Amino acid sequence: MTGAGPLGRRITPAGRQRGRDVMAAWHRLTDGDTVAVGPADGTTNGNGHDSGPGPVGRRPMSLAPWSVDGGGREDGRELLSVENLSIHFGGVQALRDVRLRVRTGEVTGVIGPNGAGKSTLFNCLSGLLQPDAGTVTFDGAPLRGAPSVRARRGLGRTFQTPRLFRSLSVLDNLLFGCETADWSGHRYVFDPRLGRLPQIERAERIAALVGFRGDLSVPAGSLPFGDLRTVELARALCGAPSLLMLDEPASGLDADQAQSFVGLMRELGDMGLAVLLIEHDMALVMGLCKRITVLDFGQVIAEGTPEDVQRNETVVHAYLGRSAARA
Amino acid sequence: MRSWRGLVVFAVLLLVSAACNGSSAQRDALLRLNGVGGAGTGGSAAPDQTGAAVPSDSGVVPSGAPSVGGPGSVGASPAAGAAPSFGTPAAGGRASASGGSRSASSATPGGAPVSGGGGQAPAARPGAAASSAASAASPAPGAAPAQANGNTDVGVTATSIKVGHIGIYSGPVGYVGQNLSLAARATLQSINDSGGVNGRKLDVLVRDDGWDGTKGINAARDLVEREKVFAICCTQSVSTTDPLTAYADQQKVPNVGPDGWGLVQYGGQWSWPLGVPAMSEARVLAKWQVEKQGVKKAALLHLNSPTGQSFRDGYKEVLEKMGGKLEVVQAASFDDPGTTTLLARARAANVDTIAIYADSGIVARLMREAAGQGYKPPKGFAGSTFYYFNVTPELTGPAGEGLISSSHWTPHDQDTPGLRRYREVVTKYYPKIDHTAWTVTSFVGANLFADTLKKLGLNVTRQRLKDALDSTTDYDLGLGTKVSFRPGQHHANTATHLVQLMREGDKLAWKSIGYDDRDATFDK
Amino acid sequence: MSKLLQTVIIGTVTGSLYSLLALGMVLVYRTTGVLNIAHGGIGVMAGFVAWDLVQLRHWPYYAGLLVGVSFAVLVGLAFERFVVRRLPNAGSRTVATLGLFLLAQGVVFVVPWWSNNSAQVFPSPFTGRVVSIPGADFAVSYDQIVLVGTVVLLFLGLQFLLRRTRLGMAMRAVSDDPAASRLMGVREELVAPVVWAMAFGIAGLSVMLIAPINLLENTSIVAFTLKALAVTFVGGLVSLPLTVLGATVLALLEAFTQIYAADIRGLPSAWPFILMVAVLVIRLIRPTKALDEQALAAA
Repeated sequence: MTGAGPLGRRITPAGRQRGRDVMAAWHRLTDGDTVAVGPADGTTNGNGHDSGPGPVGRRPMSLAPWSVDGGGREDGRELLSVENLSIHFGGVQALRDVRLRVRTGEVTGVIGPNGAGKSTLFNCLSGLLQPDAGTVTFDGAPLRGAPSVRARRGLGRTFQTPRLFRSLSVLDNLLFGCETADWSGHRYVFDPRLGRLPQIERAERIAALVGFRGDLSVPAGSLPFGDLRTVELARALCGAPSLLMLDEPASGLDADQAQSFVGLMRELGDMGLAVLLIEHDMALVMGLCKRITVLDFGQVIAEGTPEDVQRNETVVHAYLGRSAARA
Repeated sequence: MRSWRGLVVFAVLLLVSAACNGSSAQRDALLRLNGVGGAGTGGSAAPDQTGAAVPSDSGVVPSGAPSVGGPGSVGASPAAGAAPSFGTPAAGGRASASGGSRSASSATPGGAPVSGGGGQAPAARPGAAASSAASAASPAPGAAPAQANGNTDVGVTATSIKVGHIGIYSGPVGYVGQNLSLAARATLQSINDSGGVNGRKLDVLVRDDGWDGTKGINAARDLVEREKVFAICCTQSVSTTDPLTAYADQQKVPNVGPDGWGLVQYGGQWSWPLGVPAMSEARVLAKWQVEKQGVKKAALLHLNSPTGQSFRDGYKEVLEKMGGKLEVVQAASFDDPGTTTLLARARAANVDTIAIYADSGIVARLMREAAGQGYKPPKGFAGSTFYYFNVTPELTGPAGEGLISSSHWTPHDQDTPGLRRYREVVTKYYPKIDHTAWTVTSFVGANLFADTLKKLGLNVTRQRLKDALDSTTDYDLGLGTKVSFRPGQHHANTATHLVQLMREGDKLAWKSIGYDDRDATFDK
Repeated sequence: MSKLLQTVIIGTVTGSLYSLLALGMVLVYRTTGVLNIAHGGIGVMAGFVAWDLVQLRHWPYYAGLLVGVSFAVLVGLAFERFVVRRLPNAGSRTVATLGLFLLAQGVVFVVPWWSNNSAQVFPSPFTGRVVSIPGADFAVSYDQIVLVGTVVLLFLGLQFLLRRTRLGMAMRAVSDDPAASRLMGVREELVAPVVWAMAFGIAGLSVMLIAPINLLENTSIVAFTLKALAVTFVGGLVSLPLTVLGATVLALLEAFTQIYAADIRGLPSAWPFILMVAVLVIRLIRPTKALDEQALAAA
């Protein structure tokens, strides 16, 4: 890297060193190291972070899933639990009494035919839709509030069709993810005192992590489709989520890309991240997920390990058989 | 997404360009209202202010209570009882100029001097004595016509003659336009105050067209067909007067003293316009510039309207006939005045003068820009229209010094008996009126109307009025131009007086340069 | 040579004038997807407010300027709060700006002491001061220099805002995908008032800078706005550099044809439409997506 940082900003040697320190700390964190370091943004020239608790406040980076409790991972801890979630649109019961568990360090799959309510489930969880009934507990507390509030509590997601900010550069997309995770929207927009160096470093780091090899400065709208998915995933990761919800992340990827995606998921799982995955590619789902929930017409028709699900008569009848027949 | 946005964009563009044309037409009409001519038929997008007739802030409104207008009362309370009622010209209310004085008509002896203070009898009106109308005004004014047989034609009774007048009080130019109307109403009122027309009072019904031709024609139809006025007088809203010409011919209603800036008005058999065509002004100006200034090469900027083109043609014709050459011609629009490029071209062609037919705004831009560049053509800037806008010197600032313009009548800086008389009559009723060449046209129109009616004696009919107007010869109120009409030839006024913006204290003011001439081309 | 130089200067000044108006419109379109038809109209209205204070009420020039711009900003905030926010999409909002444009025009016409002339004089403190060009027999006025300088500053400022600041990022992100940015905590209601206030303020300032050169009046500003609209098409309504380039090219074409090819009647005034048609044809021939991406890359 030259002296000019991304966004063309000049980076001073001191700033660079500061960035390195932050990155080192973060890297240790992502590796599951036990060093307890303050929040990334806390180390920058006095900008501080949203330290206040409550829904708007961002939990410190040190509580990211990959460093839960600051000492070793606790894979298998229940991070998200959904009970009796229901929602209807007009006369259509889109979800009925859905029950779901997601544990840290695991990839949990949600499968089902088109229109089964998978994306609706995601929208309910991320706050874009308001369910009629049901309780959602996240990290030990009820999950409620605006989408951004939920995002700052550690809920990251991607969309079925990648929804990047097309006119922003790749790097700016990632930075947007980093910074809106660190600060409230209001501060993000209006507080001129906030620096962004740590976020830049973090964004670059995550771009490398997800395997984006392209130019970070091109407008996101000009990327090929596979890269759109990758960058959207990276943007979600920039928010340092503890639960990552991916809506058909592998569709549209070629074999190589799908392969590296699987690798990435494993890596993230190893870091302690909980992943909730909607996917149609059965081989991928079966290979990746520890547990699978099957939805049909808005209801959970099966739940269990891949082997359980594959053996389940109802599932085979409702879904797998059909896709097997098509294949 | 982008593609449908594109559609919206395009649709909106169309709308905007329509809006632009609308406002351009409005401004064009403003210009023509002030006598500068233009193709526009008047914007219809003028804010509809019907009913809110006149800005009440104008302290010019005489508010005398209705009472018998006797000679003695005039001085103290101008136009007492006959205040041109200001309220609701367009709201359907009758703004009757005779109002309370109608009952007084029999009591008021004709010929009594009623002018405020001066004791100047109408009979002593300078110039009027020379008019042919005066010679016919012999029937004893005091002899009231017989009651029943006074109804000689539509709108005429034994004691009154109903007259329609359409002014501009609202809309985008109401502020400017009302002066023209007020001058006409003041003059008509003064005629009533001095005994009316052979004992009949002029019952003036005022309408506001909001400077909108459609409204104006509707008002004219209301006046003619419902109110049954005898004639229409002194209507100078060009949006209305152009279409009014055809309507007057169709209804055979006399339309006396319109502005005459649209050339179409000269084709009417029942319209007697009093303005000067731009082409005549251009001819006089070019002649003067060649003869007195020695101009050989000229540049010309004209508004791209029929009137502007006729100015260009008249100027070019005379200039080139006299051995000069029009080196640079540029058509301007309000959207794109093209002043900057005209200056560049004029300088490159090394012209002696720049002639302009445009509004004050454009000429002000031109002169300010030239001054900014330290440039002035050797013989300066000249044009026809700027004198009609009192604001011109303010707009040009010091850069405007030396600008030549023209007037239809004796310029206001002169002190002639005719102008004194004009000011006395108009300011008696509206002290704060803005005097322009057009308020003088109103004054002349109202007087011509009344004087010609007087000539008819008691037997007032539309046809007899037409015949009398068509035989008007050298009607002269001492305002620098004699007016003559012949049947089928209504180009009455082609005289042009030249004025110049000169320094007066720390301001610029219009001064007569003592030159006037008339264009004889229309004499046939 | 002098004529050539003068033509270039004329083109540059006029181009700056178009740019000034166009930049404000690009700002709004790029960050909200709304084509702000009202831009010029609001500017004129704010210009009249300032003119009223300075010329009629004898306020100090800069105080009047400040109040005029603040007035425009307030109108922008109110328009966003009470109109834009209640309308569902960019199309209906664009139509709303057309309504606002007509309203602004109406206001200017209705106030009697504003509309008593077809134009009003609104000099700046610099009016009347000129810089002579050495070797040429003409001069450039301070007002013109201020205009060109302002365009340069505005261009750089907007570039910086949109490319380098979080506020600009947020504006663009909201424009690109309101739902996704809301998910990430940046709501439309957070940035839209800033966009509208800023754009209207720029509109007011633009007219106040143009008025000393052109007089303060409605028609030509509206015509300039139309031309500015044409040049924003060059940049696909999003690119600031292409917009400024388009404005300058258009103004130079106009100046050169008016001065060197004046006999071709109507050509100078046809350029905006030629330009627009050319842009549309190019967009038909070449895929719009690629062009948009190029424009964004250049933006």
